[in-house]
Amino acid sequence: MKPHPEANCASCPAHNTAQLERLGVDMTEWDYAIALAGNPNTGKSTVFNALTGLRQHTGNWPGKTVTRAEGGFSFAGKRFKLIDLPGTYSLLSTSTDEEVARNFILFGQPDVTVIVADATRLERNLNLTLQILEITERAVLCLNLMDEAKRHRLQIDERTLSKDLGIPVVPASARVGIGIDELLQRIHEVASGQFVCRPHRIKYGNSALQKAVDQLAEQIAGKYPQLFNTRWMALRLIEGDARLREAVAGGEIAGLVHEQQTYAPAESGL
Amino acid sequence: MIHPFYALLIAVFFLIGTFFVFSPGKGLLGRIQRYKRIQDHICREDILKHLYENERQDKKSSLHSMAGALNISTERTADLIQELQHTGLIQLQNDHYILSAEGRDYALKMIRIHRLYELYLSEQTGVPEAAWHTHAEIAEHEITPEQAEAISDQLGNPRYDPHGDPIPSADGFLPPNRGLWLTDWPENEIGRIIQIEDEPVNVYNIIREKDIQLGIQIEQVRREQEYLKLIANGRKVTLPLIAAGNIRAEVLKQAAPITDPPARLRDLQSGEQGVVIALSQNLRGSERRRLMDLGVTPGTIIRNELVSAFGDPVAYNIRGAAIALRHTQANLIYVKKLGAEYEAAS
Amino acid sequence: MKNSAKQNELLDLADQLRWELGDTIHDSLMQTVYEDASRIAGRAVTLPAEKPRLQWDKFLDRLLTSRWTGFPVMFLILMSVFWLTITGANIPSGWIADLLVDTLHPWLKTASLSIGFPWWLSGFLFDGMYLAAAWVISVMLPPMAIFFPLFTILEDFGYLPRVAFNLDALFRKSGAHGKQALTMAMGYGCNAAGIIATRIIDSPRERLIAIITNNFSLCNGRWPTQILIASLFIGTLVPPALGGFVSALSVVGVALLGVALTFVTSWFLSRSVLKGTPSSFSLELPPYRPPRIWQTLYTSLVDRTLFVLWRAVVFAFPAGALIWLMANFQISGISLAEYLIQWFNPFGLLIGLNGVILLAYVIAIPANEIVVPTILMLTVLSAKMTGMGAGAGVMFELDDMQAYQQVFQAGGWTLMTALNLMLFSLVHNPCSTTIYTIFKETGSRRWTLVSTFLPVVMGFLLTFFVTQFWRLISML
Ligand SMILES: Nc1nc2c(ncn2[C@@H]2O[C@H](COP(=O)(O)OP(=O)(O)OP(=O)(O)O)[C@@H](O)[C@H]2O)c(=O)[nH]1
Ligand SMILES: [Mg+2]
Repeated sequence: MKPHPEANCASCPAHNTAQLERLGVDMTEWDYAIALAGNPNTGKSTVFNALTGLRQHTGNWPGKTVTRAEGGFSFAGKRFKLIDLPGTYSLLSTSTDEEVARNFILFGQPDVTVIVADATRLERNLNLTLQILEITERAVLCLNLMDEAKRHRLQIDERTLSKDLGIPVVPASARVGIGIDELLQRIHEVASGQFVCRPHRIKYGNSALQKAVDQLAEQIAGKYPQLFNTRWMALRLIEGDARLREAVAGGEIAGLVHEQQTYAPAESGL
Repeated sequence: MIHPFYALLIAVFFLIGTFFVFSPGKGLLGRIQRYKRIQDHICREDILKHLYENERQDKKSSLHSMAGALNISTERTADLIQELQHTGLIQLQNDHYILSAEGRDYALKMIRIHRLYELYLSEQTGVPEAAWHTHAEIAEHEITPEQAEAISDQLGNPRYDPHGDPIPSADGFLPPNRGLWLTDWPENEIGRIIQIEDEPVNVYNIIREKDIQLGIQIEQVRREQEYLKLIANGRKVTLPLIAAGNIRAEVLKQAAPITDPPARLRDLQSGEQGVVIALSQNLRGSERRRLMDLGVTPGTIIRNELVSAFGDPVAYNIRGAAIALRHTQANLIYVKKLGAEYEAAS
Repeated sequence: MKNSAKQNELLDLADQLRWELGDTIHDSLMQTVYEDASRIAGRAVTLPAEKPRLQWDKFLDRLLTSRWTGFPVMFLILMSVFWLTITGANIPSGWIADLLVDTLHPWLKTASLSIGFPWWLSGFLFDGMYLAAAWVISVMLPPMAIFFPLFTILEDFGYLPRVAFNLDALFRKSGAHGKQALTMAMGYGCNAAGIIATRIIDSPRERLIAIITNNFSLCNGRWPTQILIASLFIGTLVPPALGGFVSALSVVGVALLGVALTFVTSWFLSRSVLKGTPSSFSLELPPYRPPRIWQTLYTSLVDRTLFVLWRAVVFAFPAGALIWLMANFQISGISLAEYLIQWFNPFGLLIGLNGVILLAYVIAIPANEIVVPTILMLTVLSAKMTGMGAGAGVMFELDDMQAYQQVFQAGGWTLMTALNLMLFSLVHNPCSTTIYTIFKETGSRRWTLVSTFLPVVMGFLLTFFVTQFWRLISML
């Protein structure tokens, strides 16, 4: 299967999977790097498998994936590198088990972050989603496990959700391949800049905190004008995030300003 | 082939021997380790700390007070003091010993390490509170200043240890104490406990027995002879003055009085619901963060959903997911019970 | 770096702000995020007018975790899995042995000799390497290809977290982390994987405990040993109709002994070298999700088959070569293998095993899969059996149970030897891959050594005491 030229794809969503070429572990020369993030046990590895044709282990318990896995696919003439991450509940915590995911989302600078969320527990999944939207401008929410949501007779208005979050929202049931077409389409749109995200930003209730964040963010922006998520950095520095302190002290932070980066996040173990 | 009886006999003796050597604490190796702990340099450092503490409390330090505090012979103490005088860390003033400026710096550095290490233990390890002090007593002699700075950096350069005591900065500056001693507390103010001295141990134990912890709200503090009567988190408490003098609290400007002692998450029976009021200050560091990540924030409605085979842990329904927590954690989450009927509204 | 950290003005300002804000930053921040999340979710999600009563899920949860049924059901599930494995594996095992050993091996030998291979080359290649691999495949593949798909179905269904939920109380009492149950379960597939899975344990102390004790989870390379020995020596003690059941029972017994040893060792470690009290524990119990049975069976089968075949190639080829060489390299008329067996024999007998088994365990350090084939081969060699196999270093064809038993009898095996082998297979050093993984994950030589030698010493002690008591009692 040869990837079609880009022009065809927007008009023919029905044939999207026909354009999908699963590249497995072949990831030479990729155009876009896509990270799969999300709470534990939401189906990230299942989505990964559906897109790359690989067989990452999946299992119905939180913590099945503990190391990062990479695979590739090509779509609409572009080559994508996909990174499956361990699940994480939050980017704000300090626990070591979630370090791999946290560091990658923060410092890996993927071109698009696909957030895989459990549609049956939207509220708790939005916690992480909102945090991720604080640090990236390019994200897609994959609302997975829609079949389970149906079983629980939940109705989800993905348009409102998409408007509120400012990013594309794709309902899916990854295990049976439903929604993968649209997910591909949206990833491509966001990666290529056809869709510009306007991510939701958290409003800090505590006004002293708001002031402190503003003050430090201004300083950071003064020093590193190209950084766009200064607010988040300020917040994390005030909280005392050791990894970010290190990045600031060691000057690594300067490397985060470039749009597209070859990334080498601090890796632990495998 | 050797008779099984003898084989067993030999093996049992062998095992007892091994146990004698390796048994943690009491074994030969353990003894050797303990012996190392009373080496000279450790005793010297302890003398400096003893002097510092005494000076802070305006007490005088003599040869005997030091020997007593360190639990070593006076002869040995005398030798050690002489060495310390030689290096210029302590001086004799009239009939007692005092720290020189360098000596004070040295003592402050050790206190810094001690408190940092306690904070590190509380934030990043599962070491229980009762063991922090002992660990830190060992660590303060072993951790180098560089390591201490690394720990401080990792913890975000903190200023107060887990008991609320100020941590001296690397250049010897001691951050100010916050709030007021309970013995000076204005009767009508509502406040929050922010510091509890963990030494002397017997006084600290009294405070713990009364279940007084950091973060507890206090009100209606009244002095009656040798006691302080107050309401702590809605509960009447009588504290001996000696204990109250080791507790500091800060005034809370807008706080409503707490009338009833709140229930704990642990108190919810199977199927019951409660709304989270607060997380105890004894939930610290990564443990506290993890719980909040999981959605345990004030205002969250939680239901006891499933009890495990042994009764502990219990799975609670928190924002749509069943999360298993141990009793020790559920005990540190304050809730207001909603009763089982509440279900329809949630 | 530390110095520049001190001088950085951004960090200084951050420190200053942090001190001013006090210690409630994180709390208020999290509350804010959740308030936002809750508002957005509230706008997007419409709950059903009346809650669908998912009675089935609730009922299952009660059944699987209640005080009276939780553990019995767990035991029943384990029993069924092993019963299915043991009874199901027999037939395909025979087929594969027929094909690879009885048919293909002689054919390869004749063919190679007829095109002019020298005897040693054909022996080295086909009696050594090929047969070792063929053996591993026929012993390992069928039970594992049944066991793992069943296990994966349980995993996909959502049963594992419930086991962890139930066992947590015991782990807590032994000073360990409740999620150790999950890493233990991963260890049933492969200890190296189990050790990587310990990353889900946040506390370093408890993670080390989980790493050191993971070896007590019988792995992929050891289940078949247990199953084979149990079927041969314990299943045959009872009438044939009950054989499968009793064998399954004894394998489950050994597995449960492994769980018990995990608790005991964890308890001991957390009261000595890894002193401490258990840290916090929080585990999300996912909803039951009906597994896609056929797909799971298929992928798991393919996965397992590939895994076993890969291990067979990587480890059995060299091991087969080594055994063949040891059996054919002679010093004054006695083969090297025999020297070594004699050398190991006295100690082996003391702990109720023998020189052959110990030598096999040394050869099998790279992979547990090759233990049984090696034992059989060395037994034939040392017992100088005739009519079995084709000569020194040949792993011969054994097509039915009786043939196996003949070999073991010739090697002087008794029920006690079999029992000790099962115990030693549970409690001995981890395989080389696992040791390497432990080193990579802990980054510490010391803990790697502890994890390697602690189980060997425990295994020696365990088998020693069992043996001596057994002998003492049988003397009475
Ligand atoms: N019913 C249903 N189940 C799904 C779907 N997608 C994934 N699953 C199942 O959900 C479970 C978790 O899937 P994983 O892909 O392992 O989840 P993960 O997000 O990678 O999990 P971690 O690696 O632990 O963070 C598996 O048992 C999947 O089979 C879906 O769309 N519908
Ligand atoms: Mg995964």
